[in-house]
Amino acid sequence: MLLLLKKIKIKAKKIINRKTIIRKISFSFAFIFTLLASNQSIAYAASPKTQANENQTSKTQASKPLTIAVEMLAQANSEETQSRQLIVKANKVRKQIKNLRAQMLKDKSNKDKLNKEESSKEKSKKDKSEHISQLNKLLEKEQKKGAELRLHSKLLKQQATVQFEQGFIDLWQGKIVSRSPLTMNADVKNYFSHNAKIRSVHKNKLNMNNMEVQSENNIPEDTTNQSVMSLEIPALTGQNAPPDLNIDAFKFSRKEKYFAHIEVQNNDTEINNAESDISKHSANVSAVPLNKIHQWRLFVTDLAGTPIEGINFEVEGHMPGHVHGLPTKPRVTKEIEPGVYLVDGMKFQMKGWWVIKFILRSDENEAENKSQSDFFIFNLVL
Amino acid sequence: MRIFQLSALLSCLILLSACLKESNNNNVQEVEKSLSAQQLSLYQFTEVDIAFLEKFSINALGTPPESVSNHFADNELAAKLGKKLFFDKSLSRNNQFSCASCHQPQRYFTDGLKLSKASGTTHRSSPTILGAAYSPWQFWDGRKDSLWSQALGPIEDANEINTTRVEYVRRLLKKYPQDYQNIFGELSMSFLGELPEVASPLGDNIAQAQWQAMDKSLKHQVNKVFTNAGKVMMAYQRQLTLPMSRFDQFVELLAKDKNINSDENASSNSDLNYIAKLSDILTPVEVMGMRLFVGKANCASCHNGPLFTNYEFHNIGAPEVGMPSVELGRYQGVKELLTDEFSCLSLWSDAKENDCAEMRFLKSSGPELVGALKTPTLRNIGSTAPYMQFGQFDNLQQVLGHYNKPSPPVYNREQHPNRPHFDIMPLKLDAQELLALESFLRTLTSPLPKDDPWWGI
Repeated sequence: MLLLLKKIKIKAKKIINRKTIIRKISFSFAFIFTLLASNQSIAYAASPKTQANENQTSKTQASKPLTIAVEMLAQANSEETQSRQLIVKANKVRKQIKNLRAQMLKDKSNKDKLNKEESSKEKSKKDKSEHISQLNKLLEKEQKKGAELRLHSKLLKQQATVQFEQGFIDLWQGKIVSRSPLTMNADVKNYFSHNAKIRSVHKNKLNMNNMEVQSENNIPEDTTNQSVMSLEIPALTGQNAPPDLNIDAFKFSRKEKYFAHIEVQNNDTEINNAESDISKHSANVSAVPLNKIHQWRLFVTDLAGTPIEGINFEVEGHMPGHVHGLPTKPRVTKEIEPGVYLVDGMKFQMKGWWVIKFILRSDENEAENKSQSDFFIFNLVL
Repeated sequence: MRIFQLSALLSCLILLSACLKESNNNNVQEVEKSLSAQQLSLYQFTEVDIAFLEKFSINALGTPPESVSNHFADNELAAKLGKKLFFDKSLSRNNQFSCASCHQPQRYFTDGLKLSKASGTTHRSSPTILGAAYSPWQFWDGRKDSLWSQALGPIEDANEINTTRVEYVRRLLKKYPQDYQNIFGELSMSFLGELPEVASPLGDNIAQAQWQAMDKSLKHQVNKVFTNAGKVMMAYQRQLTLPMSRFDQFVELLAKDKNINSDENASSNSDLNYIAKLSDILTPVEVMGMRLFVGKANCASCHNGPLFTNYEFHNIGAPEVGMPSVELGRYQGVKELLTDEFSCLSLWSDAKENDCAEMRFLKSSGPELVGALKTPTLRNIGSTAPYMQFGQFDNLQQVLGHYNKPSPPVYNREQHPNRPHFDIMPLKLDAQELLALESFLRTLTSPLPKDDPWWGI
């Protein structure tokens, strides 16, 4: 499997190399190709998943995706380093070009004053412009290569996460209830946030228009029902989660030493005495309730798949673009079993983009500065 | 008075709405004549609009959230005794004050003063108790986590009822022994004989010394009755309901007729008839104000739901009034909650520790707490002046003036733990829009329910 994967990777690289030779192909074209190439390997990465499921995975098999993931991660990191080096190099070249240009300008202004040695000056000017054009080519090449490597590294990392997720599922057989990103049920409506600025009423109008009527009727906007709402309700500004935001419920830690998964803890007892609203939530295992204190489970292993016990977590949360954090102060209240932590006190008073950070405060980190602690970041778009 | 200086358009609008009322006898043609196309469009709401507005209707309120810390919260006997205690001046040391002194039903349970006056002058203005049963936090700074715990504060406060808990408990049990025992079971009154005249852990030096001198079981018995008094007053406040305001009637009519009027043809006769009915409830200016309220003026970002509040804490930079200490708001409230004698986590609460989630995961730090105060309800706001925690603003015009061009909060380096957050943006509304907004706010006033025994008017 590994070999095949490497082959594909090499193939992908070859495609990239070939393209760098054909200079007339625009960068955007190259971008598409890289994407295509990586799609192939993503598709490949998905295949062991099904295989593993069919084989009724044992622990040894379960560790395979982890091994692949770790290799991918290493490869991604080395590519990232290379890319960084290339970009540093490119910057040096750019500086060189700048210096040469400055010299040429200087020569030109001196030329009027000193009319002597005209021919030699001309020659050096010619040399310099040739040099510049060579350097420009080099710059372009390095920049392109750097960007491509960076993109490829990013994609590889995504695949590594997919692999690790699979390994994780195998490892915690039956214990992980939901793999989906955390959401809020669509019928939970909460239109407001404080600090919502109004830029333009129309631009920021809530997208409930699309949500409620257009999807049903499937009629293009401009033909009928132009405004489903005549009330000009401002939407949450500063709350435009980037389209490529990673909202996975599986994440590597910042330092890539650990891997973690979050999911909502559904308490059976709560469902019984809950109101109809809340029991609705329990049907959707990945849904968090609005304005209600609830619990999460946090699964943590190292990269070898060993559950990590006894971590002292600090939980932080905020909404980008808002001045406030979570309305409560959640914390880990117990370790349900080795590597599985119960996070209690989670509460969201608003829909929108939330960032939840679990900072690891294990003994080895204690001496360290807060900013040096390893952490997990999960993005939620509720 | 500025009302009369407004633009011609506005007075025109008002005139037209007056015409409208006359033309309500299905005289469609007259409606057509009196309302310009622009005004007609004010009354046209889509289905989604109506669904949205219904979330603000008093009909959407429902019963107060379940109280985990008070098992008597929905006990009617408790509510009845609670009402008696709420209005009874004879329970106070000098027979002068009751809760109703500052929470007067005919003023929608406020007192119309900047700072309230009883035994002394209070630190902050007394807010209405209407809707308080729906809030997870009590007082402007949320320093109490239940209505029963809140009710106990003013009894012992030197500026308010100024009566120690021992005095209060003695008077209560002497006056209402049967009511009390009907709810809480039989109680031996013999401990009353052992009580000092005044005693409280919160009172003056004498009261505190006397309290310290009491033995543990005696203290326990006093606190039991004292907290039960809070619990019955909470039960009482949970019974207070609001009759529909004009805004609620408007939304109800919209909701009732939304199916009939889903017809796209805006100029049909039935539609004009319908608009005539709507304009009978809210004038075009008020509807314009309502549209601003949920729209451009952004009021609904915090003042939302049937009580027009999110019951969260925000700093809107209401001016300081030159007191020696700055307004620390929720920052201070949280500190007091953590040491509160009567919180959900206390011995006197009926909740198990795990049920007190809000207290267990209380956010005790964070820059957004500094100077932040609880969003007040806007129900009956037109009748509950003055406004803000110190009554800084005499009328709604001043309030809206502040929101339109707010002054940022004062930053006092010595007292503030960090620069206070500022949670509002200038609205930049024109005079006409401000007036419309103010007109809308006045539609949120419910008629005083003279026949509602709980209100006791």
